[in-house]
Amino acid sequence: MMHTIRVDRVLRETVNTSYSDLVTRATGRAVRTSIRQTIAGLEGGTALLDFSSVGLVDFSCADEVVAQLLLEKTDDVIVVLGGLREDHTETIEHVLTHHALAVVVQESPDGCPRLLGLVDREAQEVFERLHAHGAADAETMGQHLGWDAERAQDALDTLVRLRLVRQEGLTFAPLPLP
Amino acid sequence: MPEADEVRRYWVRAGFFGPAAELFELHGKVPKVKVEELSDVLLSVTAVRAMEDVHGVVGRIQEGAARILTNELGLEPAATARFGMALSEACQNIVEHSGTSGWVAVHAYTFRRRLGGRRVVVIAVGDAGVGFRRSLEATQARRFGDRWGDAAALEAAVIQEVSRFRDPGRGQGLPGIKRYLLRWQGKLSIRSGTARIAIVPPWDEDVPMTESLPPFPGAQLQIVIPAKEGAPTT
Repeated sequence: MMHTIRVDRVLRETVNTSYSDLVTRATGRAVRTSIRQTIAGLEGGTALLDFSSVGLVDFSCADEVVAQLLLEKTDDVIVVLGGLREDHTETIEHVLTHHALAVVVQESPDGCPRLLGLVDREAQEVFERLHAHGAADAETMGQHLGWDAERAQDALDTLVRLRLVRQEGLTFAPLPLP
Repeated sequence: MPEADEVRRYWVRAGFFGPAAELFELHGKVPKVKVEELSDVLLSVTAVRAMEDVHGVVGRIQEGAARILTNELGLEPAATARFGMALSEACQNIVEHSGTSGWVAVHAYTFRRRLGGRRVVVIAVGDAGVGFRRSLEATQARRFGDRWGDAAALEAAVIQEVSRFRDPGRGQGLPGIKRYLLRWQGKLSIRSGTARIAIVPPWDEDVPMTESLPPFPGAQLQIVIPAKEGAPTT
């Protein structure tokens, strides 16, 4: 189940501003609290934070809205980002890297998701393979990539720890995205 | 009022007298300037007292900033947002660290001597607060030992990128500003207490650190963003 949260609307409702810019740490904290409340009302699935109508995002606000939200863990709901401009991407990547975090970015419903933040190359490769070919266990993934199962398992564990894929028993699956 | 007409007129264009009248008794006549003389003023002197003021500053400046940064300075279109971020972080430093209010202004100039007529945009932020040394003293003084002072505090904040907050998410503003300035060959300088630190681009001949200056309470931060090489000169 995918739930879209329009970040510009949360900003206007929370801070009562006529501007669409996500700036200042205080604003970020208020927006994150509001997003957190929305997520708490969801029963699992994926929450897509839609930045498409957001103006600029500064480092302090990106840290509060995205990095701190990912650090809080959001129960059974996994957070993904969408509608990012080049400057949003750059700022959010900076704060995620600072915290050794990563997030899935879904640019368009028909486009391939990608990772943003600090992820090693092996986890990146496994992520792309999962999205291209669907769910797999570590052994199958290792065979696909010409790796031993342990190496594939390590990469999959990294992705699970960062909440970038789902684990069901021994099988690892991409996040449900539109 | 300053005696020199040129200075008086510059201060009018900068919007200095409005905020100044709240703090000083002004004597003398404020000259009038023509609207066209104001075209280089992206943001007149504006008070920053709270986080809401930062929203206002960033929101108001974007249209004018886009015009000057892309058309006159020849920077990439995304530079407007990056500029807004740098401005926002610089203003937040006042609210977060100074313990009082401050002011910000943004102007475009032509640097004839240093850049051979290239245009620049300058962000100037100042406050009369506690300054960098007092702001960082509780967390950094022991680490520096006898070296601790205004220069060491500026070095800790600007070069070592430390924050007074223990939260690991804090202190990303100045490093973010530095990253953009590196990309644009921009200059950052901060004066606080008796010291001044500068990140000096190749086109400038400033020194990285100056000490034993007359004491200045609070902090003055200046960011200079030059036109790309090859952009039209005046």
